[in-house]
Amino acid sequence: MNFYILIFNPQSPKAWIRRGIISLIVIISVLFSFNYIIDPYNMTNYNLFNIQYKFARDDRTEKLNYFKNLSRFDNIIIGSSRVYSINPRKVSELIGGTTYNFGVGTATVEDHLGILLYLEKQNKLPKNLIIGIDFYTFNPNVPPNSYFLNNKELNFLSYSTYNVNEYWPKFLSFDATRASAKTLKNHLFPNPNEKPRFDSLGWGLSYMDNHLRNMEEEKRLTLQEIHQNKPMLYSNYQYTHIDIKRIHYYQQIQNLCQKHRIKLYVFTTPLHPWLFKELDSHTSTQNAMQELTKYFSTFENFTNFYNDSEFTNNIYNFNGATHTTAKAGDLILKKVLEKPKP
Amino acid sequence: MLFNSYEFIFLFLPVTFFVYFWLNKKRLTQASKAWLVFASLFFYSWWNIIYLPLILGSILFNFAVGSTISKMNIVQKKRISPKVMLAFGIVSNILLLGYFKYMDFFIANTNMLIGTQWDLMHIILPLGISFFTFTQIAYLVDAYRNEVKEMDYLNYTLFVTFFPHLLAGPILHHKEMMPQFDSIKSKAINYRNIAAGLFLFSIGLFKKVVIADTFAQWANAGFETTQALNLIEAWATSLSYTFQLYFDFSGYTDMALGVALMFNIRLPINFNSPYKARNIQDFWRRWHITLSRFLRDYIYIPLGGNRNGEFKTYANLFTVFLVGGLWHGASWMFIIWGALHGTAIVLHRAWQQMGLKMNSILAWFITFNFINITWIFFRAKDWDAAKNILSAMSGINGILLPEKYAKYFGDFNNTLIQFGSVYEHINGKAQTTVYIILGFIMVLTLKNSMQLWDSFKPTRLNLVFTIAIFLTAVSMMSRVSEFLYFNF
Repeated sequence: MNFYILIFNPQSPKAWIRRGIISLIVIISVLFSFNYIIDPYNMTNYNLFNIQYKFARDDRTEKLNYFKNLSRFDNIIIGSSRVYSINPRKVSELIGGTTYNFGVGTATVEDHLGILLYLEKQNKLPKNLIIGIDFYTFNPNVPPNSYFLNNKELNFLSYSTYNVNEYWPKFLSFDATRASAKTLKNHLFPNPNEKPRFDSLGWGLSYMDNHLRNMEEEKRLTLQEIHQNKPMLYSNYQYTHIDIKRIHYYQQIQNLCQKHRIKLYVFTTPLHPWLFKELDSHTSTQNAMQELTKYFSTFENFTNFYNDSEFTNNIYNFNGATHTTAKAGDLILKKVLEKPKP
Repeated sequence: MLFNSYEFIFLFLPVTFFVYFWLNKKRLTQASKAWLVFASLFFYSWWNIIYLPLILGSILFNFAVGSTISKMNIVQKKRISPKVMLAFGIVSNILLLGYFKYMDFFIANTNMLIGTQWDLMHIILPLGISFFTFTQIAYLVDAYRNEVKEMDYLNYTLFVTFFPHLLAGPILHHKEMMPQFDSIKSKAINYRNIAAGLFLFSIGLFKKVVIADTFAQWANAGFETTQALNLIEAWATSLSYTFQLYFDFSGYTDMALGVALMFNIRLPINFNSPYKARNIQDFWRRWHITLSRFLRDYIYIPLGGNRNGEFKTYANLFTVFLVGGLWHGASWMFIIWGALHGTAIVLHRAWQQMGLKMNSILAWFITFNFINITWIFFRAKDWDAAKNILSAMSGINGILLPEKYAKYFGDFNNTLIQFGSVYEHINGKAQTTVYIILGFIMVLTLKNSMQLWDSFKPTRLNLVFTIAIFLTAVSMMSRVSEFLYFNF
């Protein structure tokens, strides 16, 4: 009976509203504060508890924080996650000196120039710069990565504002709360089996070929990945021409390299044959890719993997639709560094 | 502005609410109405301020025509008859709607039929134009019938723009709305209405953000890849869209009703468990009720209704559904959808006339499947896409079952049945099946929002329920998407 009264007995509507609003304010404030303090997506650029590995790790913050404690490198690799598999040790083996892989997830040209300007400011510019450019990098409809925009040390643009609709809601989201809880758990009770994503030279450890590959399963996942990326690649961000503004950023990169006598190597990151087929079947993306390779073919050390059928037709060179394997990373380096093509 | 956005929930709604009742408390009733009009226009302009003059011009024009008709009804000496004035008003509204909504459709079809080379105008459809145009046509007809008389421009603007119904209905009658605004009772804060409004708003938000947007991901992926779908994917696509559309639109309506209730305004209900319908006529009495009411009162009855014999009745019914289809959008797919529903309603009437009966479960099964299949025409971008999905649903593309069933049906492998990843093309998972089953349970067994609202009491259980669904919805709102009916 008491339970019945407790649960079902009507209250006054005014008290009901008051209790509801107070409860909501308290719960939302707690959730927001928890997510803001833990900051699982590395959005605030401040780390109250000095958490080393966050659930959704931001490559930019992670690599910058690590890089600050290191001395100058002779060779730097720049690009998106598609260059994670490029082994810095292999670079050192091929052209000598020390190497750091500064690849960051979904990098656009703004990231490339931002990293270079940061290195210049820190007086840590390399002797050799290896840049992997992606087919989407020059799409004017693909905005700079939000982590880039939010990173005060890399963002050289006149605006740093994030879209309010993307920023604040993340601190209230269910996903963020789950990520915060997991981040906190991992911080308080570290799992010794959990590997960091990058090694001390910025190499993506998860791309090392130390697992037995189930190619059937991989084929399925690759197709799924291509399909999932489809809206981003063709529909939402229609790629009809290359971004002149970004070409201008590349001219700045070239000028910086000339000014500081940095040898610049540029290559188009290889595309999985199935993804290439998809892109090539759209006249607009086909034209944009041709325009892109035409522009870069004027560079002294440019390697174009889009027309390297020997490499790209071998699906064993790829971990899924997007990334190459570590072994393939070595092959890429050989082609880029040993036989630079005009 | 969207109901399911942070700016609406945490800024716009509280500010509008408190200022409105503060002005009323100060007995500034005209100012409170003006404030609501201003807030509603701000709400509308949030999307694109360019269309603000359009809606204001439309309101001004219809107010002038409506008040002229009312005056003509009072003063009998007239050079122009009220009927001519009404016709002028209706035609002007239809021309406006026609220009923004149907011009490109007209050009494309003219080019195709007579080989002209006219360029498409690529006109962007102003938000809510179908709704505010129909609302105002209804007002003009009511004014002609002497059922309403509005001589106050502020009142009329408030009737058309009141933000809860502005963008996607319900389609209102002036007479069911304005007396409420003029009532003394509605000017004071009513905690019972606010509690019920918050309860209803939370249900609507949950329906939209959590349920509809979950089904949307499978429906959208399926309609993007119609050529590749297998049997299960095709059915999952169509059912996902069927549930998405219902939870999206009824969620919007619940939110609209809930918000209006906080301002002491009761909007008419728009949904009454439509998927429980056992025949097509029953469905249209439960689905988008205010549109059905509009079509009945302003098209079916003026055409003659059922007063001129069976054949004319069938023709009238069919015409009404054809217009209803076209109202949803400028595409042959909507016309096909309308024609299919028109045919079904004609067949249903003929069936009734013959005095035939059907088992209620079988009747529900046929009705639901008819609705589910016809939504494919409603959603598909063209005939081929609809045909692809229907072909896949019939099993022509083969049957693909999850690997785990290979041990039971392995003998049929490569003949009738194949095994693999079932929901690959619609980005689904095993849970997709569970969600679809839950969708059926929700639409067929649970009380609908209106029934929940009727029995609402401010108990602790309802408080916990409201907080839980509100928080769940808010925490999933970062994947904001628009309401489907904003496109119509």
